[in-house]
Amino acid sequence: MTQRPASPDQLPLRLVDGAEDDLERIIEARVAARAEADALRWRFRLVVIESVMMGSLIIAAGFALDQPAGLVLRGAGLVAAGGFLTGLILIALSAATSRLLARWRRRS
Amino acid sequence: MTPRPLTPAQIRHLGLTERGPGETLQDYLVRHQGQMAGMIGVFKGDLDALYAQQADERARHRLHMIILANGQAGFAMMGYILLDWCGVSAHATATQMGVMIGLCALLGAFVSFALLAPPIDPRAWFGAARRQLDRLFDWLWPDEDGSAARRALIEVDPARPETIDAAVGERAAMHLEMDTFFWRSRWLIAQVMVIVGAFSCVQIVRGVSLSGVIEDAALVALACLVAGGLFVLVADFINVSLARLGRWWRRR
Repeated sequence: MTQRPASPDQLPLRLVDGAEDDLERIIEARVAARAEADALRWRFRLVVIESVMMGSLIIAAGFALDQPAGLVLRGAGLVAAGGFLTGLILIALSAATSRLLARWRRRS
Repeated sequence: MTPRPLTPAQIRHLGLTERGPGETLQDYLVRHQGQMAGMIGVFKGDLDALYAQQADERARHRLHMIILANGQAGFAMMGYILLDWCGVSAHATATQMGVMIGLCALLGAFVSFALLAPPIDPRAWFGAARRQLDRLFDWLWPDEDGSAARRALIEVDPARPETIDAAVGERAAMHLEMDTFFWRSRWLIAQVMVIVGAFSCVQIVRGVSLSGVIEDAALVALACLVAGGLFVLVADFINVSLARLGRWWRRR
């Protein structure tokens, strides 16, 4: 679509005249950048917390049921490691899915 | 990030197009039409910003509903397991059990409400109390000039960059809290589907009838959703609390 060039006499359409609004825009831009950069760290931290929780749950249940300590610790370690690995896979899968979706949207 | 809708001051600027000195009627009309076209674009952007803001509010509302539902269901389930473990369920009547499970669900709701806004920062309690007092004073003695600044969560002073950093940190954290929770909740559903699918396959290989497989799959799905939901809820609470604690510590 062709657009008419603006007349040099045309007064600028000033929608933002206050420094407060400029500041607000700068803050919003920085918030967007920070949120994008920190998203992976937040997800990773959640996965680590879940793994620790799962391991602790197994240890607590094992000792509550009077199971041998070695068996309990090995089971807890295995479960925590499994939870951590699946969490990492989830992070990778979600990143791959979002990239695929973004590419799909760009194409369509 | 969601765009912000126009402020009343910005809308006032959209009002009148004055004819310039020495400007012909033709030029004035052409210029005015150009400005009108610009305004239509601005209003479209404003509408998009409002829609984005509304979607954000809806997402936050969904988050609260999920937390509330999970908290209630999880506490009711854990209450029943605890009663059974203590041997109460063998002697109590159905009404007594119902009341006790209901009380557990109610406790779950209260805990969920508490989880929605974990007050980690001791200054946050004083801040909240001060804001409540400010609202009371505003209601008793309205003050148009001072109320907005006092109610601001983080006051931004352009002359002090640290206040801008703090505001950026707070807003980014609010966004990330919601984003991480929904990310994990979506994947919980995917995990439950995988578990139920694998369980159903094993049942079919073992020769269990179709009705039995469906019945068991529904039970497994429900148990995984409730237990996993509670697990995710607690993990998310710890995650958010750690992040808030970290921010508070850095700000000290």
